Amino acid sequence: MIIKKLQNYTDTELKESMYRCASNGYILLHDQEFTRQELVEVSRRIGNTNDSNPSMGHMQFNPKDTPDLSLVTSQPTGNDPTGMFGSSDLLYHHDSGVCHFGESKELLTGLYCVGSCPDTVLSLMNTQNAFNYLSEEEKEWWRNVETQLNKVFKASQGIYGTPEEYSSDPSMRNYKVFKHTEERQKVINIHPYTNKEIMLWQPAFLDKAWYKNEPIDIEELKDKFLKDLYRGRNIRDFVLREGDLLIMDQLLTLHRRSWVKSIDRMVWRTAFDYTNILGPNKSYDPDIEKLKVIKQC
Amino acid sequence: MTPGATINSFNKGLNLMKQVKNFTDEEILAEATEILEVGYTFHYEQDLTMEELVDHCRRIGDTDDDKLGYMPFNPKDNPDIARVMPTGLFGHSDLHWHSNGTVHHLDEFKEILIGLYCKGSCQDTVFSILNNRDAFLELPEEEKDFWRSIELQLNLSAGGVMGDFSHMSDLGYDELSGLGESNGYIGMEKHTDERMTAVNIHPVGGEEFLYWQPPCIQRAWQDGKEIEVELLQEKYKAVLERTKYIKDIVFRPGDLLIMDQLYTLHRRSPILSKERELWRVAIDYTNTLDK
Repeated sequence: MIIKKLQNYTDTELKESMYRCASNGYILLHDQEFTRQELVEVSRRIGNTNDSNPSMGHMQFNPKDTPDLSLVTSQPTGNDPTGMFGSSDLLYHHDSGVCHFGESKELLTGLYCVGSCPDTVLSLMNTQNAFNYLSEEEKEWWRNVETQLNKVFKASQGIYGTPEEYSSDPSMRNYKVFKHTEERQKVINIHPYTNKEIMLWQPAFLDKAWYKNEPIDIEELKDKFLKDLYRGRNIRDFVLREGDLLIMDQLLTLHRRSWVKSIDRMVWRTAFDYTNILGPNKSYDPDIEKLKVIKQC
Repeated sequence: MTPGATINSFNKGLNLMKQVKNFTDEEILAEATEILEVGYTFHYEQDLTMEELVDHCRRIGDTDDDKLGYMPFNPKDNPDIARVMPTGLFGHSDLHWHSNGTVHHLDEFKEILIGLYCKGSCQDTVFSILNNRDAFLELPEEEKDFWRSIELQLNLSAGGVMGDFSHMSDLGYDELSGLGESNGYIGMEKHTDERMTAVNIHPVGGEEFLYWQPPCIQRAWQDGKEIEVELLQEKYKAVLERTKYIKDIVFRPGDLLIMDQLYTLHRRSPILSKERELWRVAIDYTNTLDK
């Protein structure tokens, strides 16, 4: 059986695939074959690959000839001895970092596996499915929650599995991020391409939270999130193997990663949006790019 | 279906949320049928005591494990259950690809199903299932004929199924066999002249499948002539180790997996949490599809 390569998809096939991604949270293609340039090109058929998230685009890990692509590996890359994220396990997060809803235009992350570690599992949690399973009363509770995200983990661990892993990897600390002061975002928002409710959650960057405008305890909110959403039926687990391409919608899903045991593991990451295949992102506010960006140490 | 997509192509058994202890006879038969068709079934959020787990498995078939049953890890009041945990069966080590016949040739063991029920989880431990029947059936006829010409002899070799993180990974047959028996494992007869074919017919399903026990293939023959085992292992990997035939699972409390050991292989990454505990039951189809 011959597997069709993504770069050979017709526009209709590509459009159907990406609508499925916006509806289901991800697509996984196997037996794919890309050069770095081909991966960027096919990502650009789907949308813009110029990562607007100030903390993730054009980093030292990115090859100079394909700067829209990051090398996720524990091999030395650029000036970094451990590569992007090193071998650390990573806690549940989505790739918009500290951006609030509407502040990040790259709604998609593509991960193409060039080298595998059979012991490393990437777990993908579909928060939209999880939200849909809740009772109306529980849904209503979450609709009244607002959060503020900031880089608050200076003395903690961020998305790293332990504080020690965070402190031993300086590579991700000096990147620019948005600083929120008064801004809030709702936990429940509307997906710009499906018009369905989505649940945004970024526990590692949760700075403040409110329920019906009253401040609430962040740790209690995290516990409630785990109770309501961290259930097997909401999660798919993947070992990325050579030739696999996983494309994830960052509004519908969170992901975590177990520690990387094999130095051979190499994943090429692109961040992009749906704009060239499904039309403009009506939730994105381009004025956000004029916002003050600060650099943290 | 979009070409090349594997989404939902290997999870027909998912989304079975009903408590299996409340299954009707028709649902039990459907369960056994689906195990045979897909290679496994998977149920979320089950709430089972050890007795209820054994009862459910006995509705599918016999649970009297003649190879790994009744070990020191098995609770005395539920001897058909083995506790798979860092301080129990298999320890914390990663495990190579294998199915639960391990070094036994076909027809030397009767429990061709394994049930695994999760009591405690390690979110870093991934359990991968590989459908070796589908991988074989999708091969071109020429390649199928190659595999039909292969015979194997299985025996314990260094480490057996224990992976890189095991203190047993460098032990040879005699040391490993002796250590296994001292730990309560039932001894395994060493094959000397016996061979088995690589391609076999499932005794219940009736379909051909490609049998692979990579840690235990000691000798191999093609059309009666002995061939290099390492080259054969590489060929096995190329045919079988493909994402389209593999389902990856992190066990979470309440998960129940039942898998056919002839149509599937499995492997496991190292266990990092002492909390991880699976209850394992070996079963056959004799109360459903093989009466």
